[in-house]
Amino acid sequence: MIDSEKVAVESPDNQGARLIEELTSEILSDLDVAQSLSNIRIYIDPDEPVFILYGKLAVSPPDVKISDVATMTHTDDGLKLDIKNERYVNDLLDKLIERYGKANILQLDRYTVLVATDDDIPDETVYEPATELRRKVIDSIRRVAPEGYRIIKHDITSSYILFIASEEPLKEEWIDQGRRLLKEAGA
Amino acid sequence: MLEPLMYTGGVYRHDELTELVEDLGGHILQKNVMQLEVVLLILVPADDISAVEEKAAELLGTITRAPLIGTEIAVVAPSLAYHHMPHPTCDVAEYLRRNGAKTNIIGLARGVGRRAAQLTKSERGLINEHDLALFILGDFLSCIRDVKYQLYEDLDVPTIVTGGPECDAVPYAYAYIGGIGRRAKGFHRDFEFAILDGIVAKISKALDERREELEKDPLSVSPFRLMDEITEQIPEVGESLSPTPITMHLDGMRIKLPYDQYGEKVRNVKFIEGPTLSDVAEVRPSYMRDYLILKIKTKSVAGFAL
Repeated sequence: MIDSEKVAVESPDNQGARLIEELTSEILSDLDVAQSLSNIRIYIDPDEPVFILYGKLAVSPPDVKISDVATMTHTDDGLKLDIKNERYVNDLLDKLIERYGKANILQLDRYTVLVATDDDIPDETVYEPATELRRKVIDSIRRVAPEGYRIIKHDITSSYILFIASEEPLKEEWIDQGRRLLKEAGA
Repeated sequence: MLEPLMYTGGVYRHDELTELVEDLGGHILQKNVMQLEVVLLILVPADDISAVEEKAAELLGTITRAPLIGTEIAVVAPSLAYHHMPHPTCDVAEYLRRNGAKTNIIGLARGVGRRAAQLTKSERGLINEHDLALFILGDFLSCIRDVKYQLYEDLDVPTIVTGGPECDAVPYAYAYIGGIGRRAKGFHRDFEFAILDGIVAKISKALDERREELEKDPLSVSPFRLMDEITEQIPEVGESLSPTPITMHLDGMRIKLPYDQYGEKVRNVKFIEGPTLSDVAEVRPSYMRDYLILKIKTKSVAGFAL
């Protein structure tokens, strides 16, 4: 459970604001993003209707490259990859299949992959924690926002997310309000 | 007066209990066998409960009162998205099931939001087939009180509404229960179970009122007797894979057989007193799959009672 002070909800309906605050904390801790999103400010007014959320994104770990996952050695059978970190094997295989085709890749066992090539593989990124974090954050915010609010405008950078949703076409004043929230939070 | 009870115990020798219930003039509404455990939903004459309790104790099983036995309740959520599932909709439905009700979760096609919130004709028809509708709504009082009643104002069955905020009553609903709303976690704590118990109590009260209303102009035949006659005369009922091939309602039942093939057969079920089923009940296709829905005529409509 995250610190309730991390979530501040403003709404003309006090009871609703309290309930949304609890719901936000529950959803964020449920989806494992409680540590990644902080200083959350929500404005919700079902009579307007509008939902605005601002949250500060935590710094995510650096990208995972092929050299972080496996060591490469040239053998008579082709390029041999010894897996160091099994967690990213699927991402690595996807990348290799995309580049060399399925027919040219053979996974001998859990820790060994052979690629039918004599060249070195460029050290590409196989997994981006930042992208994964954004996906999870957006998923959790969509769960917090009322379901009927399907008109969405969002602004996500490496440091914050601003999410505005409504049932009606978005009004300029709501977007301005979102910007104000952003300014107040010092982003 | 039949008392609704739930028996939970082992499979071994549970047939002794079912025989006892039948001998006492009770009914077995549902039997669920899960590996070595069996759950029976039974109706027993109120005077003979002690006999059933003794038998249950002998078989090392437990008997609990399940007030919602013999009813089918629609648990209606604005949609089946993760905003409402699995908590609270499934939790509430499961709790009602543990109190003996047969519950169906219904996710509406256009239940979300304010502007487009409405019931379609088939949804209205389907919900009206139940004994009671329980609506699971959200966190904002103004939505629940001023807008969402559009979902249930035209329903013929009593409606109970649950939501997050506390409030005494909402328009068109039989009762309103706060403290639920949208949740991302289950019901674990004591006060949360108290809310669920509150829902069961309100539903029981609404159904008791409906029963009293039915007693003023009684049904032409007891639904349980009708169930026994149908099961006996149409053996295909027993071959249905559904856990409740016949789902009881207060004033009828849902029979899980295709209407096209069995509609006439059901209408022609004979009673020993002479009349056929079509004299005492109305049979029509259900909005649920291709099932049959059966509504028993009251004594004043049928002109006699069996």
